[in-house]
Amino acid sequence: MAAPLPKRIIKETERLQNEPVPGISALPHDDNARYFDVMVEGPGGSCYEGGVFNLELFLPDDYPMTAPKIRFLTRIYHPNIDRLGRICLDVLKNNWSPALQIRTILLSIQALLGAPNPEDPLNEAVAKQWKENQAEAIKTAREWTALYATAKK
Amino acid sequence: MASQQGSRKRVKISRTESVPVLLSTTPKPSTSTATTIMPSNQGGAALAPHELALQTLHSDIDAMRSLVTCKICARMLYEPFALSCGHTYCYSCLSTWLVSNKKKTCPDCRANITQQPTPSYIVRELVLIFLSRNELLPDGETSEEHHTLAREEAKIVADDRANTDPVLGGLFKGCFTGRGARLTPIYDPGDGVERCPECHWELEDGFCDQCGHYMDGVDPSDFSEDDYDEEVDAYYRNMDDLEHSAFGPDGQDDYFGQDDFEGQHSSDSDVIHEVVVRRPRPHEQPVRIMASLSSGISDDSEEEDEEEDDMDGFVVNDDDDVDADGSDDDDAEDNDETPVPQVVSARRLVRRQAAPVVISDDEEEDDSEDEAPVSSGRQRRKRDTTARSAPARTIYSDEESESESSSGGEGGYNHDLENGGGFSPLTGGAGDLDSVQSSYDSEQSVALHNGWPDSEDDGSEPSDSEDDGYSG
Repeated sequence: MAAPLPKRIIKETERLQNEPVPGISALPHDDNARYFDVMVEGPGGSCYEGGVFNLELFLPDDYPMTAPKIRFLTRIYHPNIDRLGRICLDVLKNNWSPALQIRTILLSIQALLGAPNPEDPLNEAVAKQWKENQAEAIKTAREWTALYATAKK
Repeated sequence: MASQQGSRKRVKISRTESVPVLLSTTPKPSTSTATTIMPSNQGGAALAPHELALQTLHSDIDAMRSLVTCKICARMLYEPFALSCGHTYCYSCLSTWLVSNKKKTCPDCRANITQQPTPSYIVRELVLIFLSRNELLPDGETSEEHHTLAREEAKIVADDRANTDPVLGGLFKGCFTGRGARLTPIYDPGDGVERCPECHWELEDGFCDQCGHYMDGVDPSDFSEDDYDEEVDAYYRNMDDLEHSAFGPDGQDDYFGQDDFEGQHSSDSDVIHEVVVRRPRPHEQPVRIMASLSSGISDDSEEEDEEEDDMDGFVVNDDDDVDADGSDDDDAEDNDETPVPQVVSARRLVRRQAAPVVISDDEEEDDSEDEAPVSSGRQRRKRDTTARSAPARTIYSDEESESESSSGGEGGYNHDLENGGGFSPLTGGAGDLDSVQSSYDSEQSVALHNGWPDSEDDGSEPSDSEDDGYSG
């Protein structure tokens, strides 16, 4: 990396490791301190409970003025997450604020798993199913979690 | 260290963190001595009261230092600026954040930011205290590096402050004071909606969905163009009324009526002769006026004098009536309403020639008296103020000289020449009316140009005060 890492990123990384958020971990790549391997546990009581979801997180050059880029790597059945793992979350888009951090964003994502919002869908098919037959949708989500998010660690 | 953990948190958190640490370290003196700055444990076993106090102090200092750390860049608040919502950040972070976002919000509480953030001097002094001693800084950071960073940050602020660019100049790249800050919604009469001044997308509740531009509804800069136009229109309507009333049927009869000219003609043939001889002079004047307009005010008074001389030749009989109602009127007006749109003396020249009814011994007074029946006090006063405060004219020199040459020069002067030459009552009268009309058109256009700065001042006053609000 040409430019020295901003103090903000150094501090955040330190803190993520020294005071990890329960159920969340984020480790920077050795060769790129702006690229993180993220692991988020499905929140208890949700249809994703027991699942461990892998994500990738990248801090753009103008971070923290712009939001980090985050994507699910593990497949997930969720109305606000599309097939490619992209996440529809306001704080990642127009509601980003430089006072937010990696850890707060990851907490928001974890909360999104616990509270799917089919009214503002990114994945139309899932959202439709979620609205029309929620029980079925939740069942599918559980199946997917068991299928994709549990086996490997 | 607790300080490292708490550095990005609020005091409350770091305090609660520091207390358990403190409690837990009490039974373990070895760790407590390790964390204290000065390892002065002679006894070694128990933590002396002063050590305990020192440790408390230390954690307090850490908490304070975390408070004077920018939440955005995690550096000290070398140049702290407070938002209207009360949150404080360092200048460069705040500037980057606010400038890059059309909808300006507080990073912490998302409050809409419409006022320019204000420097927070106390916080700045506090930071300087921290910078001054290595002991007060986190491990591995030195006073020197922090002072270097502080100087860099101060330079950023100073550079922005010194930047005089009308758009990007000033603190926060002019995003609160520059032209960009004053954009107002564009009213689209076709669709009956307001549109975004940036992208012309329809505004909804002052917010543009297309580009994110946000209009604060109560912003004083919201003074819309419609209002402005209306105001200007009203102003000119007023002007028109004045002119019309001045040149109502009566005024015309009195002033430009053929009777007067005839009277003039018959009674004062010498004078007329003189006029004939002199008449070519006004002809030169357009040129000279323009010269004086472009060169400034220097020869203004001189010209005026000459003008007076010219007019001295004109002697008119209705001297007395004019005096009677003119002078009172005049005094009152002159005293009362000085701050009125100024009209250039070029216009005054035109008008005088258009209305060749002048008697004068002394300058100002007679001048106004002469025209008393014609012009309302306001106009006279305008002329008078102009004579005194001519500088305004230089601004509009182009337009004036233009209107001068188009209407005043050809209309006014030529007619005057005709009058001087022939003084046929008909042509004289009619011509004069025309010339008067044209000269008044030109006058109006001059007044138009003159009116602008005034009404513009009116329009921009709120935004000026708005600026004050920002800087204060």
